[in-house]
Amino acid sequence: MYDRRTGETHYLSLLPAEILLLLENQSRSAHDIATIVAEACEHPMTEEWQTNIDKALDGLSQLDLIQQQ
Amino acid sequence: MKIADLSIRDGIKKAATSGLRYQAGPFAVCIYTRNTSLVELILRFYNQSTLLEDDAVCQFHIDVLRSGGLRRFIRPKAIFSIDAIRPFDPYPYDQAFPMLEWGLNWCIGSTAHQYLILHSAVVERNGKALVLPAQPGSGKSTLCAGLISRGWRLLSDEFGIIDQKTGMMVPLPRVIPLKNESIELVQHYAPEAVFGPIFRKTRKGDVCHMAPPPSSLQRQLEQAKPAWVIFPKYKHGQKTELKVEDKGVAFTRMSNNAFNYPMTMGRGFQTLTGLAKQAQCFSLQSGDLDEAVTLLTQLADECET
Amino acid sequence: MNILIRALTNGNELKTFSALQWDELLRFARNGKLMATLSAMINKLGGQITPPKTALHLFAGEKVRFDYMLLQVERELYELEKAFKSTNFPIILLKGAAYIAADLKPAAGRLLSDIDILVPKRHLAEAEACLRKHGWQSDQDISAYDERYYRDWMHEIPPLRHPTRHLEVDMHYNLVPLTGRIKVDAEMLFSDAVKLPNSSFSVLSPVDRLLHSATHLLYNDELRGGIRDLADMRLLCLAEAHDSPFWKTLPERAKELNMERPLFYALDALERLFAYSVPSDAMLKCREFAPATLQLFIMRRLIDRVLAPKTVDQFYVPVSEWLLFVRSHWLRMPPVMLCKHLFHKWRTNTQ
Repeated sequence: MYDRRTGETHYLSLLPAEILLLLENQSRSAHDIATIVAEACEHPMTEEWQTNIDKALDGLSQLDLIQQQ
Repeated sequence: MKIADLSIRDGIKKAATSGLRYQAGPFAVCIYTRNTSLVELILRFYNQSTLLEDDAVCQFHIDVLRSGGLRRFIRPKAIFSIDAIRPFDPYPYDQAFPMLEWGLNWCIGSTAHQYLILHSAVVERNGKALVLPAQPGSGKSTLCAGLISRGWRLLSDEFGIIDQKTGMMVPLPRVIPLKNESIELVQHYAPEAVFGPIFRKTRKGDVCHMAPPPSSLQRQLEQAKPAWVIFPKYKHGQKTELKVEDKGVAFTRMSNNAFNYPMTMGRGFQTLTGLAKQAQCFSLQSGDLDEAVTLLTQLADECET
Repeated sequence: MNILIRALTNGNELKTFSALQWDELLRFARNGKLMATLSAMINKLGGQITPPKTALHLFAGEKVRFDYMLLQVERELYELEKAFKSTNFPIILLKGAAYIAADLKPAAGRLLSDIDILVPKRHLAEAEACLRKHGWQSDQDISAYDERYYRDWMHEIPPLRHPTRHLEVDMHYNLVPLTGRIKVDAEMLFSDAVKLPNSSFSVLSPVDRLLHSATHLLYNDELRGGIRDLADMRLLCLAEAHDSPFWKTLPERAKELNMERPLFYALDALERLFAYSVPSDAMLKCREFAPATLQLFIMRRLIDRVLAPKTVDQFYVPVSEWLLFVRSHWLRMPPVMLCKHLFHKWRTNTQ
């Protein structure tokens, strides 16, 4: 994906890409994101899963693609 | 009017006065020089290029000068200058031609940002373009030379110029610089092709130029739609193999390969993703020039049927 | 007037340019680094001018480069604002970055490769630490000698760059070197600075902006940028009405900042080369800043030769450029230091 604001191009794997799409039009809590994506991937909603999602969110935040409030 | 219509004497005179102006792909180039052997090589290699009028407005006005002072006589140097800007160090005077070629590449690569410019060879067959992105050791130039000696049209050996409005590949057929071992290999493979002198001990080793085929020069305003993007890799003794490349990976490799991808911003992103989506993407491994040429020619001809 | 200056002064002349004139114009534009500016100017004139295809082709490439640079500048300024959020000293944007941030006329088509900022000397260490904390780094290859050159003798710290981006940030604490013959009280610049709306940055007052441009033009090591600086100054002047208090303040302020001589040379050059008429009262006062007759004669000849060559064959002028280069350094450093510096540069260049 290309970020018009920074001019950077990012090569995202499926998980962060899904998360970005979820956040395109509205903000969500980290827990909500984890739940929705777990459902879509048919993966049980566990603590480990939440940690993975949190890591992905951190990564996206560092790339300035999302803002954590 | 073609460059071939110019006598060597007139060509030398033009270069020393109003400038030798000719069409190089989409660029109008003007060369000023008193280096007669340089002019002879230009007239020889680019004889089928369009010669422009003396008052043609050109994009690049290049002076190839001889160093002054004492240096004029003791190991004289050739200086590349564009509107008094000298982007790199002088070359030995007898390497003026390779210097001009690299210098013109620099001019194009650093200014023509309306195009997305890949570092790749581009050839065409049956109306379809094959893009061969380069990487060190890929053998791109050798492969390109091999292909054009077997009927492919040369669009460019160095620049994959993409017209961002149409997604088509823009021709810029120029000499193909062959280096070191490649020289003998290609001369053996394509004995009927036209080669220039061998320049020894240049910054890139021994260099010999293969002339662009006259038909490629004549058709240099014909763009071609890209049908294949193939990443070549030459390795001695390697079995010749074509492997499908994931489109996402192909896009990433091309974005890193391009000269000016970041500069083209959002538009460039769309152009390149468009190319990756529309073309068939492969990586090619080979240790034998003829096998690689045959395989790619087969691929192109099978598409037609 | 050479063809480039003619075009910049009166865009309408382009309507009647012949092919040869366009060809010459493009050469001057490239040499003077004014291609993008020329392109922006022609764009603004709309359909009245129809440049030849090759010119349009060149301009198209320049536009892409300019748009990309704009994106980079905006991003860098955004990141700088974030980094400096916790500080509370004034930060002044200079030159190109100021033109862009304040949306000034010289911004159109002006390409820049770095962002210049001015901070108060007593806050310099804090400012540098702030940027380093947020990821900016200095060039790894810089020698200890060059580092000292910047910090002790010049008026800036070595350039900083964030490793994930391309633009360099040059942090200055004065507009002219400390070791030069001319001393400027940087505090005065801050007291007149103009804060930008919705930003923690300021820009120099219009008068100080022009003065800075004048000193940059004539104390600059890189003379190639010369005609561009003069063209910028012309636009800054044109933005001020003839009866504006700007013109009354200008000579006085030049005296306060010890920038009289550069101002004189610059306005004199604008009048002679661009046929620009400085309001007469202001010009009269500025003429008092002129040097003795012989020096004036020599400087004018050199300026004309280097900034406004008449034909393309006059582009490269090694002897004069060298003299202006030496003069430029002469003003920055006392003679003994200058010799040491030039010797060191010569040694590093020939090794």
